[in-house]
Amino acid sequence: MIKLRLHGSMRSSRSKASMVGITVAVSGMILAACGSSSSSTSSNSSTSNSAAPTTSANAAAAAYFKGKTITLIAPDNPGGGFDQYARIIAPALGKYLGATVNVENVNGGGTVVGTNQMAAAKPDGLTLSVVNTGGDIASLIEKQPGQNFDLAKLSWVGQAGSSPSVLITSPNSGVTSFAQLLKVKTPIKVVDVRNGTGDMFNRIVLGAFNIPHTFITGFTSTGTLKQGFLAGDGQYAFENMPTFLSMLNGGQAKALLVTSKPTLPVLVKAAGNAVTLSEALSSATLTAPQTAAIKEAIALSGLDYDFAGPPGIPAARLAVLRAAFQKAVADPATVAQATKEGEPLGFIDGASVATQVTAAITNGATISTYVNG
Amino acid sequence: MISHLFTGLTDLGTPSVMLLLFFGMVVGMLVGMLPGLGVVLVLTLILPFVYHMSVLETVAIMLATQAGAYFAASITAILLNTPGAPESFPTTLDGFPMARRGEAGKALAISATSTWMGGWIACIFFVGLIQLAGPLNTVFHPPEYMAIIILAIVLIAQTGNIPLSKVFISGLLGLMLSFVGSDPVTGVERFTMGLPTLYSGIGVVPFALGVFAVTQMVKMYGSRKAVASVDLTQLGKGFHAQVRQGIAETFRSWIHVARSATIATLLGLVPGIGGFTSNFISYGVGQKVSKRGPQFGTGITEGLISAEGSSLSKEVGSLIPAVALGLPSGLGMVIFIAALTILGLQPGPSLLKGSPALPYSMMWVLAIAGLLSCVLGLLLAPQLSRITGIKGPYMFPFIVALSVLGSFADVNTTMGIYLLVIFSIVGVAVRDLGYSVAAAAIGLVLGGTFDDNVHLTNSLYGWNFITKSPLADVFFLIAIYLVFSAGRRWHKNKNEVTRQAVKHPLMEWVFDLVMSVFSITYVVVGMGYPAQAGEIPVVVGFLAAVASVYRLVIDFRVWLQVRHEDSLEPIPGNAGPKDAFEGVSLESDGDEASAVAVMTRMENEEEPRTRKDRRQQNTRELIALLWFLGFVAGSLVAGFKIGIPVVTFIYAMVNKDIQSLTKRALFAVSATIVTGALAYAFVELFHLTFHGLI
Repeated sequence: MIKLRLHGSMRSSRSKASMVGITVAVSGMILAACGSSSSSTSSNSSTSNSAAPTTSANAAAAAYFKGKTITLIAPDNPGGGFDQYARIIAPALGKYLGATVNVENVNGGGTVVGTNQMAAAKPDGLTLSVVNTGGDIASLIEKQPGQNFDLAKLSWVGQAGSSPSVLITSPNSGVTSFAQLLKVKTPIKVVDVRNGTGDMFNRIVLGAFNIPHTFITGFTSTGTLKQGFLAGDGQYAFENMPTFLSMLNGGQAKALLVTSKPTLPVLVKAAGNAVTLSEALSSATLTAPQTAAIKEAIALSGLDYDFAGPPGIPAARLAVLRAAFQKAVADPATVAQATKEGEPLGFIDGASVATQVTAAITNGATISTYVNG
Repeated sequence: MISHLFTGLTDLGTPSVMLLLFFGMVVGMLVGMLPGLGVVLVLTLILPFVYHMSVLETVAIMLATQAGAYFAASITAILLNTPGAPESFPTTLDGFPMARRGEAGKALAISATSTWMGGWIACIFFVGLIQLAGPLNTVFHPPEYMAIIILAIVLIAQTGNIPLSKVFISGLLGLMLSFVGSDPVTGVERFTMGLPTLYSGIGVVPFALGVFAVTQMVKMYGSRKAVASVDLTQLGKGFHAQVRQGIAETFRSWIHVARSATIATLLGLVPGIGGFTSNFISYGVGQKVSKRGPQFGTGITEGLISAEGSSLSKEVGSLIPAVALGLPSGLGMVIFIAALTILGLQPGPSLLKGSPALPYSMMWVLAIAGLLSCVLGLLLAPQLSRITGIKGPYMFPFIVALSVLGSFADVNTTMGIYLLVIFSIVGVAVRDLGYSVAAAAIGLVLGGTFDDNVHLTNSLYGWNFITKSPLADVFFLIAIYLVFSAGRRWHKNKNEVTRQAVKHPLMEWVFDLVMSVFSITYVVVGMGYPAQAGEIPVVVGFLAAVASVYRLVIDFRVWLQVRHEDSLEPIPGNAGPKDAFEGVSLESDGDEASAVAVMTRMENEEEPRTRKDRRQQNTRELIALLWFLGFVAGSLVAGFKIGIPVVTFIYAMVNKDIQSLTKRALFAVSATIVTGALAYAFVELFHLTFHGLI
């Protein structure tokens, strides 16, 4: 491969070119070999199961997905919560559809950039994404720029799970409980990803409980948010629990409040003695609008890690996708991997998600004072 | 700690781990050597396999791939003036001139040895700094990030004898391009012209492949020449001697390795940007402090070492925040952290406490892979060097095919190819005008981070940041000093620039005009966006418009002068790198070293001697561009698997550079098989979803 011999003649020139060619070809063949092994893995596994169509249209739709490549957009970087769910579900989803599901990371704008890209794709069922539904609804109510999609019109496939969000503080803030935080008089500095679920909870919780605060915005993802928090740019942050797991376990952050009681042992340990949002609500005296906002925030916290495609996916194809998705979430391999990564699973079917989304948008007025404040 | 250090090494001693380490290193080297295949693409490809691996196996394959790739990225930078990764751009500055002089073996040996030495020096830092990652992280805040990016642009811009206004325009153009796509803070789409395929922005891959790989191939096709300007057949075993010489020279210049490794390790600690800026800053600092600084860029050992000493050390440095805090320095480390997360590990203090030997295992993987890739690099150097003897027309189809495939694979849409076409045409058109590709590349890669950190700085401190960030102030002051000293130097020498220095007066003026119109349009469009999404692009576009109009006025005068006067009167304020190559000395003190530097560059440039030759070369370059467009069209119409081999076959069969029909047919068949295999591998491996319009 590497024994090039150089001479001045045309023959040598050909030899040179050929040798370069061989070098590149060998490289190409090695890569191709890797590729074929990868492809064969997915195709072998794909034949073992398939969605069970109930009508001829569904049968045609099920056949449509066989052998196809589906792009599943994770609207954050590898290792982020949405990426984790996407990668946990992708293999089983591919298995039940008979397709290859590739995860593509499209990061930015909280998660809006990735969702925009999904929504602009052809509604053929071959482009899906994990959607930050709660955060997007809050952004919608806030009239934040950037969303190029109508949440109510997306083709909802289903929810894979929902993990509680957590309000954390750094050890040097001097605050060790939510009760203590309620007594703080000087504004706290909160690092915040605009357009995210954390941003929504920050605004509703801190606003409704009248905690003086200043937002440090401009972080583009939870990765840069963690960086800012650890660098001391702010002493408080609100995001979903798995995002802060290593910091909570490593003593770099303390949990003050969780949006709901975690069930996975790893999350229970990380939450420590943090109060839930419901507990905080019951022990505080709030006005009716404040209470309504907190209750809506609790409802919104359930809208998490939803999978969707662009508006207009043909009904039969969407039905096949939903059926395969349900099986994928329940697949033993999916469950094992989710437990390993500390991501809770909890299936909700696509039709119910669609209903919840519509309801949440309608109820948006209750939180609008806070998210727009 | 010593016991963990030892355990970290012995833990790697299982066959599967060592095998994956070696495999990862070889894959990494292949990836690094092939233009168009980014390490991120390959790491993403490895990610699904991680589910079936142990922690140490994952660490071995992921980190060894990165170590191999970043070393090998320098190989094409030296041999073909095409950095395998954008970070390796500074390697081209001294590596490629060496290759042109027929010293590719020496350059590759310097690269391999200094990469390894730098990496091992960084490992010593690693041991000392891993427990201090937390406190070190609190040193860097948004103003420091802004300052480091500006400093990187200023330092690298100093290396090319480029007028300030041109550096300014280059860096600003890079920033402007980086703002295309969805605003990372608000999600608002900016400058996308409504095209969803531009939502994710303009990638550095089509940019780098266009301005480096395709531009170099068009140039080599035009000249019919190989990279090396000397007859390599005369060298005999010379390359082996060069390798020995390169190793010896690197050891003698250990201080340069140590300096670059130190800078890169410390910059590697800065999450987010350290990994990318390290090579640029260590090269720039090397030029400033070295006695032979003025000769940097002419193919000298110190220059190459300054760039290469940081190649592996930045990876070792960036491992510290990645492991100790879960904060990555670049996309490679992002994927590495994701892999650890898949395995149920959370990088951070809990990992340091729970698996204290693991970070050292990671360090050892980088150290071992660095050493092995260096040894492999040295063994292969004499053979690889011979690539510099292959003439342009023979190399053309392979590199162009890789560029088309790599650009598409980067984004998995045809937009990647369209951007490649634009950057290739621009690259060919403006390559002699003296703009700084490096400054543009830094702007393009770090523009988003710059934008975010301006927002964050504003959110944290407002204008008060000057009093709150002493470290950022120091970086800013250094940058300002460097700009002023460069400005003074240019002012002092402007009268020495003669008409001879203006190579393409009309082209200069046309580019200024295009740039002015582009910048002004950019500002107008940017003003239509919400303030938070539009203000930084508008400011950047406005500065670019001012600089472009300034150049427009100057270059218009030059064009008129050159057109109407046949005099040697001084032309103020105009000199690009080519000007320096062809004109009189431009260095500040007119010292001997500078004169030598200029002369050496002149010798390195093999420009056509007569007007007829130039015309002939221009025609051939145009033909090369058309062939490149043929590859693009073939891919778009018939898909990669068919279009690329078919166009390769036609290209080879009608190529009159090969006179004998038999030889032409043989080349055609072999080249078609190779490019066809490449296309097949890319389509299958990266699941490319485009199969052609028909």
